[in-house]
Amino acid sequence: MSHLVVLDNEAVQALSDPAHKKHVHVFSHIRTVAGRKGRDLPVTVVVPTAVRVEAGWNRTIPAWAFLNRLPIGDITLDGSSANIAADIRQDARVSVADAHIGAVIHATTAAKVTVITSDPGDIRRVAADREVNVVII
Amino acid sequence: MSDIDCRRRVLWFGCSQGIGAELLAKEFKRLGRKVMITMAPALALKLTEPSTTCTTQAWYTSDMDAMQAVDRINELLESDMGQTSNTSMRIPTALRDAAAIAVRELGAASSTTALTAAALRARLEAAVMQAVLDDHIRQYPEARPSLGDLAVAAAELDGHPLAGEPERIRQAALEIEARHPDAEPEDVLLWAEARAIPTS
Repeated sequence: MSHLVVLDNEAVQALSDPAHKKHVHVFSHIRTVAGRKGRDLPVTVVVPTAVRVEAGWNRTIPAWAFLNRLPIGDITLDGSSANIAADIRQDARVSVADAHIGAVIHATTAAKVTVITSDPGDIRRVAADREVNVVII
Repeated sequence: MSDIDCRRRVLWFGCSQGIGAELLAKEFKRLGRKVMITMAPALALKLTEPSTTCTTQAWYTSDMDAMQAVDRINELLESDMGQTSNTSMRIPTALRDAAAIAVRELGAASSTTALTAAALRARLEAAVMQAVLDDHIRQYPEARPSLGDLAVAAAELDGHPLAGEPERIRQAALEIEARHPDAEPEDVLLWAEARAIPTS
């Protein structure tokens, strides 16, 4: 069963900064994913590009080397996902980054979606009727 | 070849062998104008030979190489996958035949090549991820999660019924770690679940 793990802004911030109070918590999730990948389980960690914008994560800057080296894939905000995100933003009154997370949740073909977030309310709103596992950090 | 060109080539060769530029410069100075390109391998070998007085393992050099390898692997994984190559890689015949059946009868992938490439990519990503996390922990030992932390994370990722009771999971981790130091997070969850079942 394919499992998509989506990072929100604070999850990115916490993972990138070893001094962040939630670093070990998010690091534990990534370590768990690494263990599962090592056992050939189909789990993927992604970051919507709008979340990267909000977090200030520029992949060309060496300060982000730790995250850049991890296989955390970008999910881009292309034309069709921008349409979905625009509707979500209008309906749920959330940030562009959260609306992009919503678009990812709605568009994915993964059997299971987990979002690691500090704002579970917004994620549940953008997920609407889609089943999503929300991990609160 | 000019003296400068010759030294440049020796320097390049030396650096490719992991020899510091300072050490090479010192050796150039000692040899004066006698440095010739044909001396490069011997010079490199001499300078890479371990000193008889040095007993410290150069673990940091190895770490740097691992991250360079990670960067190169990532670069390759992100590059154009449209280009293909025939390889002389040998795989067990039985594995090849099993893959062909899995593709044909189970729809495991569009082709055995696609199946092999996907599996290889997944293993490479896993290896890279593990190497990067290990390197991070070496740099920041305080970031190392405990077995309890990992078990809580596993429960949260799975939406496990005990995910909302992290203290129960951490207690189970302490109990199981005392008897089984190599226990996995999933072992902890199983133990925590078993402990949560009321005895009749």
